[in-house]
Amino acid sequence: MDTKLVAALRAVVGERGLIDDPTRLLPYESDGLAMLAVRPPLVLLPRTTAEVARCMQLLAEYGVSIVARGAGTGLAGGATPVADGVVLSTARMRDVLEVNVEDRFARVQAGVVNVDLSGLCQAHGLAYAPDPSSQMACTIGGNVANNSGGPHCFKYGATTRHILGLVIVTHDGEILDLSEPVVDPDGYDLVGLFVGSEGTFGVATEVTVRLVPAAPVVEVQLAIFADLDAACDSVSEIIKQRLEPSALEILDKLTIEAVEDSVFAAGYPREAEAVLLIEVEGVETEVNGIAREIRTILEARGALEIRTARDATQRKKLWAGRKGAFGAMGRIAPDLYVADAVVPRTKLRDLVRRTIEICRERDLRLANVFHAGDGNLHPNICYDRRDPDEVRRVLAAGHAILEACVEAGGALTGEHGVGLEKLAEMELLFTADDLAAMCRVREAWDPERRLNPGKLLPMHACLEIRTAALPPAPTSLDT
Amino acid sequence: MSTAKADLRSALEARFGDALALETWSGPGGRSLPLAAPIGDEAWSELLRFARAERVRVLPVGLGSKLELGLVDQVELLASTRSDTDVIDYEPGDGTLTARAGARLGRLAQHIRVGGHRLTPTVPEPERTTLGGALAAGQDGFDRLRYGPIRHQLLGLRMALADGTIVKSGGKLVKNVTGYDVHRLLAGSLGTLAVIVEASLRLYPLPETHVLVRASSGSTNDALTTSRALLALPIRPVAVVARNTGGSGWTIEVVLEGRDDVVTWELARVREVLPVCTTEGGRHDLGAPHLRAMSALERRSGSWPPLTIRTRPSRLADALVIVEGACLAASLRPEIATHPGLALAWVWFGDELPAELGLRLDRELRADGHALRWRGPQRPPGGQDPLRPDVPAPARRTMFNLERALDPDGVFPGLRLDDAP
Repeated sequence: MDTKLVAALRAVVGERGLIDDPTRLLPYESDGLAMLAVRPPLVLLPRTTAEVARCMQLLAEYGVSIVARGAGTGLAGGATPVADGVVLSTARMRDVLEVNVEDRFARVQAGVVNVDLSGLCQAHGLAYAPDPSSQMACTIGGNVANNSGGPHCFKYGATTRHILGLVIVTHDGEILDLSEPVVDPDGYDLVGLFVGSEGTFGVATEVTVRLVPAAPVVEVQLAIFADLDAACDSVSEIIKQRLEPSALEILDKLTIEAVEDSVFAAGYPREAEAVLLIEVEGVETEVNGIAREIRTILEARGALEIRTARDATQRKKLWAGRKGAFGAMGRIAPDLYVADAVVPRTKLRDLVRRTIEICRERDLRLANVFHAGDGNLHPNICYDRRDPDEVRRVLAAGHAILEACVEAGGALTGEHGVGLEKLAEMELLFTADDLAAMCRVREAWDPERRLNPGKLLPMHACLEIRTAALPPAPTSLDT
Repeated sequence: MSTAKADLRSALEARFGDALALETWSGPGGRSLPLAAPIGDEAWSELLRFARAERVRVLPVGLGSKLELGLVDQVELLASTRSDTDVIDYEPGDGTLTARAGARLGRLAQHIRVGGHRLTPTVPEPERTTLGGALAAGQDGFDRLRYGPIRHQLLGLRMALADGTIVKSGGKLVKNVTGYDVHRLLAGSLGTLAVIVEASLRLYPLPETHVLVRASSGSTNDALTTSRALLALPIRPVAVVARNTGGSGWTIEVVLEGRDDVVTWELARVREVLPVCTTEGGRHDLGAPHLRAMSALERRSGSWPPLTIRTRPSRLADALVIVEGACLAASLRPEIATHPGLALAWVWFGDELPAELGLRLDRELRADGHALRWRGPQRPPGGQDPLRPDVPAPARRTMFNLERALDPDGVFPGLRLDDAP
């Protein structure tokens, strides 16, 4: 890295905002997809939008690539550094700028941790709905980049439905202030397009989020099954009956065992082949009615036992097992490959079975824990990255699972993003023309493709697009 | 000018025969344009390839009910989805619907009703509103408070790009983050970026029952205060609307829908705020006269509101003070309908809006931080241009880049993204 550039960046962010010591760079080598690791030459930790903008201007002048990073909890390699590129972390941008109770929105810096925002809202009887499993660590900016989900997105929708505004720093350090929370965008929906762009359009530095009223009554049901198929069929039936719980989550036997052996033990019965966690919320009448109808379905589908919790402590305990499931799997093997695919909810059972077959054929240990209500599968393959052959089999299984899901009318990712992990599979789902159109949209934001290069879109798809440069913007736009 | 452009209709007939079902669109001021109605992806591709080669500018339309924004003035040809109406896929077990862009929302609502679903938005004239038109216009329904804007219902779409290429974005799944949400960009883009030829929507359970609650209120302030009290209740109304009714003050309307027991409970809460009220309701049926009246709120006597104000909920009263103050000074009594929960207000001025009053409203509302949209001939000269986004210059530049990226040859009309008058 050019020493003049490093000095200029240091002058912007200060000593605490720049890391170039190789030992301190270690944690930034990868995100949650640890099998892909690249040591970055430099990590920047700016504090403000203005600092981000100045850094991006300098990096543009030197033609250096930028990988934006929140907490690094992503599971698809979206925050994996690129060779000779800088990692720009929002970890020090943790200010809550405004909580507007009357208008039900909050404005926060991008590095605010999801659970901290949720906690802050609770005091006002409000909630920020998206709740990824990594919410104890993941940042709102990272959630924006990945259009993150979580169990409660079944009722409330993914992050994109909850973002009212953004402040974005573009590839050349310009600041787009789109933070005013009006109900509709004026002109094109830049905010809607930006959410889920995985750091390839710009760096979000401030986020205006929609807050929803906290539900007055919440009930969690834990249905215990002797058969994973029956748990899946129960979910399909609940959807078919058009019931509206707020979350529907399935954990299989291996996951249950891992959870119960861990600090996240939630009292799930070890003998069960699967448990289905159902949350229903609303006013008393509504919760009673929906919970009763769901119970009828569960019983008809052979649930061995149904436990119910309304008390906040008991609910939290039941959820702790689900939220801690990924962490608990560290007990099974040193590494975990968390696949992420979506299928039509009418095909849940068939695709879950298929993932089991795919892993069995490759002699891999599979733990299934997933957002069943959204058809969002998370086949978790436990492995040891020190075993090259096992790594090869894991990747082959991941590819086969995605192929099967796409063949069944599904998609590659429900909430983790494409990142580096699913680049090759993009061509399973999209035609060359589809990808070329996305490349053109990307170039409208970042003509040099310095922002998170090599992620989300297969490189050759971008290389194939028209080579003619975009016409320059009229000079009058500069005013 | 190309030969085709000089005699476009003949050129289209020569090239496509009867395949485009050519008609003539007649607009204000005696203007007329050829209107083509392709059916199917291939026909759309062919038409756009022709337009690009012949440098003919095309405005994609549905049934043409939202042409007053002025884009039609930029084009030589209208291309309508009106004949491309098939339902491609309705999957009741998954709660999703895919249809061609020309399908009418009213017909789609009937189609999915048998599977126990409803769709949103519930628009003023569902039998005259196409799926693609509603999406391209970013059209709301009166049910937005509960279900959200149309762009949140859109799971994915197929679009015809300016060079005739057909591409997709998103899919038919209720959860999916694969690739960019280009479909979100298309929603509300007014046909300036691509033609929406097919779209997939998320559906909702058909409610067992509904009820419309109506109460009178005195002043604007009373109406907004009462609306806020209603919005603070632990209920999930489909709509809370406050509208003035000429000389007799304001009317507040609340629409509830859902399970019988929940609607009953919610109605009791609403009555605590509105002890004197009337109710109408029963089995959920969008054909019911009172629900039709609610859904028609935005379109009075066949006209869209000439002025739409968007602001923060806490600032809606400020905006209305400006409107009422300026109109009072001009001895004009505007009709106003508001969705206080959405901080949205529509204003009708009657047959005539004096230009100086329009300009005063434009100036004062914008100065007070409210966003405006004028539509139709009552926009005052020099007032906020509906085709020129009122956003900072860097955002307009990004929009400009997106337009050029998707339509480099200018086949479609564009927003006004430069600072030229």
